[in-house]
Amino acid sequence: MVYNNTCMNFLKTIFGYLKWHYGKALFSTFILWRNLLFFLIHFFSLKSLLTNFFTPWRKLTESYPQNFDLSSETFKKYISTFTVNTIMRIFGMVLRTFAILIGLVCCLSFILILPATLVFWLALPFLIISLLLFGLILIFFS
Amino acid sequence: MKINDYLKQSSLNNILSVESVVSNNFRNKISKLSKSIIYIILFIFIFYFLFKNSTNFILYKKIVDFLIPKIIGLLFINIGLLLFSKLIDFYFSSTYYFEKISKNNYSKDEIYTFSAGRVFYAGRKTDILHGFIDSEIGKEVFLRLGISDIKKKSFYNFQKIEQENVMPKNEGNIMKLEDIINYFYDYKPTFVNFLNEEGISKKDLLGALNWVIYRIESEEYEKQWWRSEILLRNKGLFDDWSFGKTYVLDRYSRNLIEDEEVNSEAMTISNREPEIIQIENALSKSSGSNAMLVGNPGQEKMQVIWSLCRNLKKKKVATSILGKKAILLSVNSLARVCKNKDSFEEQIQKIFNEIIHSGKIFLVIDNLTELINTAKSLGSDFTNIFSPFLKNNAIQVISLVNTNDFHQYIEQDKTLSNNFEVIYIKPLSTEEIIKIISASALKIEKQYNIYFTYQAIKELAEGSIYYFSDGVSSDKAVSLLNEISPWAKRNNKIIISKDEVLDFIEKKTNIPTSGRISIKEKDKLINLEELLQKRVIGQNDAIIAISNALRRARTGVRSQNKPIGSFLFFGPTGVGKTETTKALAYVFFGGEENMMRFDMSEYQTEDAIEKLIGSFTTGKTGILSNILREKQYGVVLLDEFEKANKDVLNLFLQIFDEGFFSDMTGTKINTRNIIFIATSNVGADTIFKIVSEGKNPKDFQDEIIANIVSRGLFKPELINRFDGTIIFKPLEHDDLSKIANLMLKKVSERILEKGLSMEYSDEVVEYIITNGTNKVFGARPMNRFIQDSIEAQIAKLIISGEAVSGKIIKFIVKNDDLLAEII
Repeated sequence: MVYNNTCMNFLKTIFGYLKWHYGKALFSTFILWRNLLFFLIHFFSLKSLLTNFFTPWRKLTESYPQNFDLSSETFKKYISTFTVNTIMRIFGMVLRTFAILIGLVCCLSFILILPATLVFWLALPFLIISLLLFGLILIFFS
Repeated sequence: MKINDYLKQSSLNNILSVESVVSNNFRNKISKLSKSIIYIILFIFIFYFLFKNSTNFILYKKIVDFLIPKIIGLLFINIGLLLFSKLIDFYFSSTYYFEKISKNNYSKDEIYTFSAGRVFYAGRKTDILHGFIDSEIGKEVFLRLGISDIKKKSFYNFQKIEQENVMPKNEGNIMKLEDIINYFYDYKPTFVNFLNEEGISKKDLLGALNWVIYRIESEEYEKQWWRSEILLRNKGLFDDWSFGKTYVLDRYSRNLIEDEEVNSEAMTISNREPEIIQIENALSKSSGSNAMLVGNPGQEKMQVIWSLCRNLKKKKVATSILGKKAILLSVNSLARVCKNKDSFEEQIQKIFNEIIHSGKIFLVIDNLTELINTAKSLGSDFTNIFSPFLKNNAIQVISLVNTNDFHQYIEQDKTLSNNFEVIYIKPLSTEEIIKIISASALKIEKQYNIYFTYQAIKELAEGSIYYFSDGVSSDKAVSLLNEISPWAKRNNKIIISKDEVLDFIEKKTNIPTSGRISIKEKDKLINLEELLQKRVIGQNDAIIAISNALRRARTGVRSQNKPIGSFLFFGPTGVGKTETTKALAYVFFGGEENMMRFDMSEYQTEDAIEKLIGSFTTGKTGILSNILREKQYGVVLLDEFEKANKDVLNLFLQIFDEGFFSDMTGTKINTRNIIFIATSNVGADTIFKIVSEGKNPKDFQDEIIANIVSRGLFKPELINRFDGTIIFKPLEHDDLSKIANLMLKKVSERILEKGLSMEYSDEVVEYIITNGTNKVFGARPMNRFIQDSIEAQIAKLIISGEAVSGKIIKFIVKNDDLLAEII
């Protein structure tokens, strides 16, 4: 009777575990992936880089002359400010492109290994049992 | 219902049974062992591949060939075990919902929380109480409460196992450990008695319990590296690229998001949500979107900002500040660099322009008044520079200001105050302070290898409020905690209980900490009347009143937020009012030097209050604040109290009521360990009249006080504020005779040191009473008279060489004159 109860409890515990492993935990792995993907996006500041893609580098700009007229001095100043600001903008865009590319490559690599981790997770209980069994066979029967 | 059946109703039962087989400790051991074996095997393989062609290996080829598959087998087993322990860790972690440090995700059908489940599981073969004592949580709670193992075991063995007729209830909500404790208090009287005998209240038990749960949960929480709030703790690699560079601001500021406090879970304990919502609302306004946090000096205001930063990090803030950086402006570094008005104004302009340009910053100014004063000292008007920026929508500022400074400088300055939404920061309650320092204690324990009991933590929190009135309680409690740890380590104290905390506070403040009365002090307290009567003659009623007040104070019966006692002594001059005060300082506080005397007739003028507490405008410190800052324990004598200025009387009203006062800088000064004695001879004529009619003034106390009040010198509310109003009666002939004898005895003792003795008859005593006392000044002239008539004659005899060692000086009265003879 006691033996039966222990067996039942053991089976219930194993069943409870498997229910978690292939149910709740499987769902949680997706959340974990999502969190890790968010982490990569955050780590490479992708959102901020994309939203500020056209912003001048570190917002370094020069101010345009206040009253625009066609006198040569003001016009020169206007052109020079425009040139500097455009250069800063392009410089910012180039650097951001590189940073975005690095980030995207990392995110993509991460996404590519997701199926592998999924397979690993699904096989994990069997993998553990196999490792233990195979280990014992190697020790005692080889 | 049996516990087993109850346990099975929840899905957590499975994980509890897994935990009982492969506990956390067990998993850790397996994991460590497997890792070590894996490393050793890897090392062996590296060694093998490097040297497999060497002659030695070839010689033992057979043995090597035999061993290699076995080593590989061992490697597989250990990888399997390591994966198994990690997998169980995940299993356990993912079903662990946090009650204390995060949102509690229990659903109703789970019936009980994890910590409650552990207790039920431990008690499934006995009963819930035994389960609690047996469980890991229960064991830790007992340790935290300082209950020794022997006591716990003797109770455990004595307590019968009783199958539950009634199960703990929680009105359909998830069952928590607190509900189990409530159940014990309702159904397990022997357990409650056991705790009471150990001096542990229900509140203490719950406090210790919550602390233990917090400890377990915070460790579990830290393990969950995959949680988004943990993954997103650090800032992005290229975050700065999108912001305008703030070259000038960077020199004088720091990003608060990187502060340790923002990332510390311990700081999430205090609930600052109401204040944070107010700040967010203020910063979301269409114009003048600035907030001013007003509170006590200290870190409490900053704690609110840190809480806001935590929300900012989790992106759980109003859109007006979402994605922005909280930058703290360091007024000190600004003041160090800017040496004149122009450079200061230039830097300020640049800083604010940069903030507007950056567009991603809200500025925090830790001490706005300091900035205003710095500007003022350089000849600049900060308000004028600041105000246009404050009105600008592109800028958001949170200023932190001390309450006193706010009232003194900012409230009146409408240009400034109108641009800020004022938010008052409430001080944390003692319970919240206990929670904060108990969380910090967990880290300190690991650092110093010490162990705090819950009572010690509670005493640190309460002691920080009671013995240190200046500053914010939570800061003081944390700094006490930080100071006590190295002290304990130095003194080889591993377990820090309440006694160690009281010892530490006593050493730090020189104030005897209540709660423990030494044998010497016990004797003093019990025999206080007798000890005082040795010095004070004829004032038994006054002595009894003071003695009772002191006993109340030292046993903790008195209110903790007031001075030890405050007494008003009425009576004619020379009846022993000052002597009683001196005697008290001598007997109870260890010496007359612990009496601080203030002649209140010196504080009659308008500037009296400035003399006492100092003046902000002149920068002069006050006499009362200086003395009480240095000496927080003793007797303060306020002579001729009625003569003090009205403002001074009001100051003392506050002191008697609240046990502290603020000096000119707004710093609180503790007076909770002081006895205040105010004396006055107003009403002396009424007392004389009553005595002359042969009545005891004590029986006419109400009439005497009514008479004093009617003269307008004392308001009834002032008299009522004292713990006791004591009438000193004029000294009778017998009292004066005792005083004269006492004084002569003192002279006799003094000359005995020179080998001389003194003799005198009752006639001499009578002569001293007749000539050395009078109705107006009572016994006061007696001391002078003895000096002039007795001591002067002795001195002459010593100088003339007549009085040498071994001789006796005899005083006699002859022809109405006092003469000295040598025998």
